[in-house]
Amino acid sequence: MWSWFHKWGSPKWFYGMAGRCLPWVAVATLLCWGIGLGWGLLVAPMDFRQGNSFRIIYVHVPVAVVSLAGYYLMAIAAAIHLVWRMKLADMALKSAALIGAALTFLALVTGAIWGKPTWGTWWVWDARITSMLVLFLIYMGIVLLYEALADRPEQASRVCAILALVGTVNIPIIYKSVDWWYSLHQPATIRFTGAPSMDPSMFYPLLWCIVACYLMYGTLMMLYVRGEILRREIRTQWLQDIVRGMR
Amino acid sequence: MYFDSWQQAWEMAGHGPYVWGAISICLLLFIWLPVRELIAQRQLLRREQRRQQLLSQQASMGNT
Repeated sequence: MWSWFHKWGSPKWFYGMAGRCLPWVAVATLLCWGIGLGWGLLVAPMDFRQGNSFRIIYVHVPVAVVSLAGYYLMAIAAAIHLVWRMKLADMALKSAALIGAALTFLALVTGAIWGKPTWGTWWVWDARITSMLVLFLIYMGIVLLYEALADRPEQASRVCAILALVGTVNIPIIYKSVDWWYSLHQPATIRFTGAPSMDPSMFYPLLWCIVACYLMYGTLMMLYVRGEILRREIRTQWLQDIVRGMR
Repeated sequence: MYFDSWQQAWEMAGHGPYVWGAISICLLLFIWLPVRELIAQRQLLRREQRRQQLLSQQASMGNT
């Protein structure tokens, strides 16, 4: 158990492992997006109430789901960094903040585009949408704090880790917002308990898209953490050897 | 295919701009995120290679 933990804390081991996995995960990502989007946009039938605008679900739900799941990963990385001062956890925290911000931004934008033909408005200050906006602001806050404190990396990583942990309060609020408050946003389509409130012909392509989005998250995380390792440790012996080997 | 023609798939009975707009914004960001990072990493590695070359040149000049 400890050797496993130790290995995951080693930038050198992660750099090599991620480098070997990246091409495969990237190809799997492209395949799943291709199948999911092709099926969902062109083959799946139209929703009888919302018309074709419902097809936005095939990007909206995956990015929203993964932006929330990514927050857990980021909060765990933050806790590990605070407790064990693990460098790799800090790199994961920084990478997860930027990727999470991008995904949350997309969830908000695609939601707004979906809202226009469905509700007749781009934006409402309702519980689900506002709490997602707060999520975006927390992610962006962490990204900007790292930038602002670039010359004091120790302090930056500690402040960002604390902000990430405090921000965890927002996550259950997002999940429960559609049940707790009267909301324009429709309740969750997929639940762990019970069948999805969606016909299989529409649901299967959505599953492909969600898997694609998770795989994409994995690809991006491996890529960005590798980049962080390069930026911070380029002068270490093992990376200098890799650079020398590239000639 | 659910639609009878590509034209219909493009228009989506009036919802085309919303659906294809949302998809294109996502795809743009999905492409931009890895590409900017790959470019940054490549630049960093190139810079480091040049630094190593310079150092080894200086070292060999110092020897002669």
